[in-house]
Amino acid sequence: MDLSATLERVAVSLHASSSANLAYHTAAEVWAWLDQWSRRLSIATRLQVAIRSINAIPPTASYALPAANLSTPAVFDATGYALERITVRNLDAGGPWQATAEAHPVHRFSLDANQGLNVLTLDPPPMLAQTLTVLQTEYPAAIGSGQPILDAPAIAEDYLYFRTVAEARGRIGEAHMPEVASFAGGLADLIEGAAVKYWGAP
Amino acid sequence: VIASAIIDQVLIRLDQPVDGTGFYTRPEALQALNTAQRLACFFSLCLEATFPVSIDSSAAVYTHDGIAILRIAQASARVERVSLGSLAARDAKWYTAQENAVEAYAPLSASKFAIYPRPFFGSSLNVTTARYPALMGEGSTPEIPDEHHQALADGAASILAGIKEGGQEQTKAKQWLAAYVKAVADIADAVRNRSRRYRYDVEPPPLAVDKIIQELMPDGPKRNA
Repeated sequence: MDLSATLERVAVSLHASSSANLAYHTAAEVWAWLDQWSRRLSIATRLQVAIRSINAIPPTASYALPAANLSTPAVFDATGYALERITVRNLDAGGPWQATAEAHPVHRFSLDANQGLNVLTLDPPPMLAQTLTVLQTEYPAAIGSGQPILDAPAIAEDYLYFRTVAEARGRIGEAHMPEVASFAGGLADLIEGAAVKYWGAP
Repeated sequence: VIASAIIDQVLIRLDQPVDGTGFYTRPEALQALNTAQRLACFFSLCLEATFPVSIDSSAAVYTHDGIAILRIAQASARVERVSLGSLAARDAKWYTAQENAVEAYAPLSASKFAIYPRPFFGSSLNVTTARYPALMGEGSTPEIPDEHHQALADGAASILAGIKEGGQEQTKAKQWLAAYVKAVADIADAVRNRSRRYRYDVEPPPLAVDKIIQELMPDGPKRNA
């Protein structure tokens, strides 16, 4: 969807003839809200899922997750085997973390093995070079006047419209209309709640 | 009832001239009408579409453009809906596994789902989804059941007044909002009963009508957003 149309819709709802004639806000602010809330929708729901890859090279155990990663529901090795996801907490129960490559294949991964954020650690480290398949939920591309397209279902346009109106009317100042902000934000909350039920959460 | 007649009703509710030369224009009213219908369909899942999705051994993940998947079948055989986690529990190599028939699917996101196993050869799934309504022009007819077309006028009027006006106008809009939310809840109830008869995989969430109305347009002192 092209959010340029949403920008104009928001402008009319703020009593302006177009986004170029906003009295108390700027088009840049509205774009920032559209961007912020499109990310929020992707955090709250499984808005976008993509299949990415990581090239694993022996004997390296840790790899940066693919760009825009929000969560990692599954990782598969080159044979299609779903690696078991393990956390630091159950590492203790599951045996020591393998620091060096072993003869048996990689069989589990961790996203919190003290390697920092957005790092995937394999256990044991790979013996052979291979391409891992990563199924991940993602943030949408940054939204702005130069990139107004959001890959999302039709209801996301209504959601972003209501959220943006709520932001504009919720701000303290001459354009402050708390009841409008409450109404628009409430509608967006309802959409978000149903979307979580239908699409799942990351 | 065609959209242009409903737009007249929206503008009359808002004490506006029906030619759209007042505070609200006809395009604005049409946009609100489209939103009212889209929200009604999103919360009630009342519109459905069944379409074929071609599958083959090259991929385990496919797309749809509906609101939610209600049912998947391969030929006449129902495909079981499971979670992504239970696919891995069923078969650690589910992502690349191949067989003659698809046993299960797992929704992945707003528009993607995974199948298990992949078919050996090219095949097709019948995917039934709740769908979004088509965008209406003034000459279009809403797709939700006829008896609820008046509720769409209520919904559009309450959205316009709720978004563009505050205070007293919003208080007046509360009755329209109540009629609209009640109608959507009634449609959702009917769809829920139907979904259970057909053993659909997803049903619309229950709508707490009074709570929703009170949250959106509260009585008494204005809340701070």
